[in-house]
Amino acid sequence: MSTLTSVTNGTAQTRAAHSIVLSDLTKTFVRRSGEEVRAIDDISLQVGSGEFLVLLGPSGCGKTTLLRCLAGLETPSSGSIVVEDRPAYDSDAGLNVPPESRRMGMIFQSYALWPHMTVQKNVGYPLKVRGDRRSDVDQAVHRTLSMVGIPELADQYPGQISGGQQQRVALARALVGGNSVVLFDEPLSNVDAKVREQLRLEIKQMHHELGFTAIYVTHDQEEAMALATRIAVLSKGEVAQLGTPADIYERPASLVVGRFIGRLNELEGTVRRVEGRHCTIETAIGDVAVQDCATVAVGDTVTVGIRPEHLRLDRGDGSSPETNAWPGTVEVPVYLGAHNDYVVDVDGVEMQVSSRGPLLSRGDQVVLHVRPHEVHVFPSGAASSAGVA
Amino acid sequence: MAADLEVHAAADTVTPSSHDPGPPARRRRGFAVAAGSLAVGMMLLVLYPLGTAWIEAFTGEGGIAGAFRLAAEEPNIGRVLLNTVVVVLVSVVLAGVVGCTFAWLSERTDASLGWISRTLPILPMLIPPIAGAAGWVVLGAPAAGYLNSAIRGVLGLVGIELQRGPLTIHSWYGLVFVYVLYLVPLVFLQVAAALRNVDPSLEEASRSSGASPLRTLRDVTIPSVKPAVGAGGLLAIIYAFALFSVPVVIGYPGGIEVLSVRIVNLMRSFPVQLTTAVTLGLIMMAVIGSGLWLQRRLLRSNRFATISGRSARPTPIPLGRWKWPARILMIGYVLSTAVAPLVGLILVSVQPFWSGRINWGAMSLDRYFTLFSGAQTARQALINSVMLATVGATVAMIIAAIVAAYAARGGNSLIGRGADFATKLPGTVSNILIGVAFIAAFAGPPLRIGGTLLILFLAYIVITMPQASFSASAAYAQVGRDLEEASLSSGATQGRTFRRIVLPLMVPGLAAGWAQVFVLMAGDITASAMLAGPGNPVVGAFMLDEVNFGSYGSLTTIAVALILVSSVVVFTFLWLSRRIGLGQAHNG
Repeated sequence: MSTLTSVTNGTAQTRAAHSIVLSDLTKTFVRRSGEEVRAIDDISLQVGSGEFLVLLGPSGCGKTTLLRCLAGLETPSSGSIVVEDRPAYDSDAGLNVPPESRRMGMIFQSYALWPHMTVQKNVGYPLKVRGDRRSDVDQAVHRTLSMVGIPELADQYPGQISGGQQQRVALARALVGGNSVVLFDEPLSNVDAKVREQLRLEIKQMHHELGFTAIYVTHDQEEAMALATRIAVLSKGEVAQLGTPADIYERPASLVVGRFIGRLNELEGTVRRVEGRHCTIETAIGDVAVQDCATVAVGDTVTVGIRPEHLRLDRGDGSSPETNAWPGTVEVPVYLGAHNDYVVDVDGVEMQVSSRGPLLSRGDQVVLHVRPHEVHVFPSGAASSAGVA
Repeated sequence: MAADLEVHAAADTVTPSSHDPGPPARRRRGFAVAAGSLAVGMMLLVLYPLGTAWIEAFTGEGGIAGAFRLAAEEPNIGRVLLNTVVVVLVSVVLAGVVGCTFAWLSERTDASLGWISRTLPILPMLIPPIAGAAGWVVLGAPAAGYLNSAIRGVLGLVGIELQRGPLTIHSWYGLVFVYVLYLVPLVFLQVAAALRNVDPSLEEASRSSGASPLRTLRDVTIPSVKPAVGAGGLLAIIYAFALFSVPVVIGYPGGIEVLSVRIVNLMRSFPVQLTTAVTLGLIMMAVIGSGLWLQRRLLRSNRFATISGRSARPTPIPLGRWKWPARILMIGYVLSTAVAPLVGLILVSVQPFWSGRINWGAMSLDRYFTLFSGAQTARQALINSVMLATVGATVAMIIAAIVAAYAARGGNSLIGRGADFATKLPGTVSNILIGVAFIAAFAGPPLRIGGTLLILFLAYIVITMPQASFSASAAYAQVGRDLEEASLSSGATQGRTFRRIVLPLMVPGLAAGWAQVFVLMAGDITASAMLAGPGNPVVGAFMLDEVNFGSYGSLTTIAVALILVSSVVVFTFLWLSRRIGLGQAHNG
């Protein structure tokens, strides 16, 4: 350990290309019934310096376990973790660095500010524990509190300040020791929608200004989209897809990802024709032309996914294109202001449509259409076996 | 849309009562009248004897000043008070250290043994203090104690020959040791609960900030549970101060007399010295009262209320090579509190006479047969105790449940507050003073129920009422207010709502409370020591007599029988309430 402590305040020269490297990380729990559960199933990931990686997934997907393994609060079953070029965990070498020696800042869901210490004491604690001189601690605390914009709160107790201020204190405590990695465990899940949006912006801004590497756990896809430079969608302990927010939204690698990020109309179908990368699929509402369906062959059973916001609505006045146009009836119109949602009946299939323009009424005859490059095709049964992109 | 619905709903609930205010209102008042009179009855049952005792004690010659002069002239009273303070303080400090350590080990480290933290709180229920104390006498008596003869045997192997000892249970360290055994669960319960409630991420944040597990314990964990440590300590002080069975069995024969023993002796002497007993009882009441007051303040002034998040189970701290020593310490505690005394009691009970040696050939169950066949006091005592405890626990829990539901609703009415006060008061007064007061009020005219089962029954109800009402309130708090309101707005009366909705949902909590009250009543020795006589023998009083006569044969037999009965009741009810509780969890 001691030889490695020299690589601390990562300057440009010593900074690793990858801030965090996870290799073949697995964590199994044994339930009381004796059943073995793989909370993390053989995950390998590299996180670049200064990156903002969001671990996104439904509850029980293993995202929090992964974060806690990184922090050292939970011990993986096998694999290795390297942080800033220093090994933190390696099952082969029998190495497991305790959380206090991992030098990563962590922000907890509850913020975990110690209620019996002032803001000053809370933020200064990592330095005090390290054995810094009092004057140095005071200086560093003042500097960090100014950095997060709350120097005037030093003497308050955590119970006396607002949720947003608590978040800043937690961030200051995570950063005060010069940590270049900060872990976030769903820090915005306890605040209401309005405050959440504002705090989210603040986190983004801090990240931009301070340049730390962030690993951020959330189940909120909007939050993930807003914050991430890359998103890792986790499902059943595996990485279902890793990519930029745009990648994941526009090119979901599997049905699971497509369902979890945004909404999806799903249609079972059979592949009729394949011409290069184009293909045509027969479904309950008619033929669907797809621009990019790489791995399918004629006769395959597939699931077609179309996002409600990619479906356009016409009043059936003949201006619709020939392909991917299906006549239907408006069943449920929902007025939402910025846009409207509809349930449209197409040949007995209920399609969800999200559309701008004047509100249609129940019973209106419409034509739905979608552009071939906005249709996604997934092998049927893909829901269970999520492959890495 | 939603607002419209709300208005309609409100109008609906208002309509029937405005149309027809008569019968439901009267019937609702019916429950209140019944509950209110129960509450007033409880108040009378507590306050009348106390008032009578005080009037009798303080209106004699010399008045209050005379009473205190009398108490001050009591032989050796200074010594007795000093003994009490020393025993209580030393035991509480030791029990505090042990209890906190066990709580931390159980809640935070990998030395945790699930069954220990489940067993520890019910140990004193399984082995009532009188039985545990008798068990330790059997083990640690200087000449015939099994532990001593075992140690002497080992010492003999290395050439050291002893006739007596080396341990003496009737000594300061013996007394403190057994006190500590019975105080540890009080501290453990409070601190372990507090540790479970502390947001684990507070400690994880400390680890992530670079603090070692020990540093985290010092800087974060201990400050978070300080109020609970204080509350547990005060509870231990209160309990220790009023404890009678342990000092009378262990300390008194060794010449260490404490306040509780002196008060009971004053009441058992002839003629009864009521004035002195009541006055000394006031000292006890003052200590207990201020302890309770401090404890409430401590718990209320906890301004560092934790901001709790999602309850992630904290990862246990690995103790490494300390794991097994820590476990052995905890197992050792359970062995010394429950297993060792029980084994000692059983051994003596199956031997023709108690000596340090175990005569395997002479083992027999004769004593048990005599206990249950002969027309002896012992048999009658056991029957009386079990019967009183069964009926008494049932009555106490019903009263407590009705008063709890009533007090929770009309919490601010005079009778509601009075009921709350009456059910909690006996806890402040101590069982000993209750016993004294019952003799003063009920033994003589006008009721003349001294020496009957009725006086014991009433006294048991009063002394277990704090425990019963605590369980009942907890059980009531678990029933959602909306479930009750749904029944009321469906048109059911309060009485019906209580019978059909509230009571069935309270059953698991009430059952647990019943078991607790049963064990307290069956094993009571404090009030029984004063109120039971040849005409109404009960187990506690009988055991005390046998201790005084030194007849350990029948003492151990009835102690084992008491432990058996208590254990069967406790385990049956734990099992039942868990089953019922599970069933409800599935339905909900």
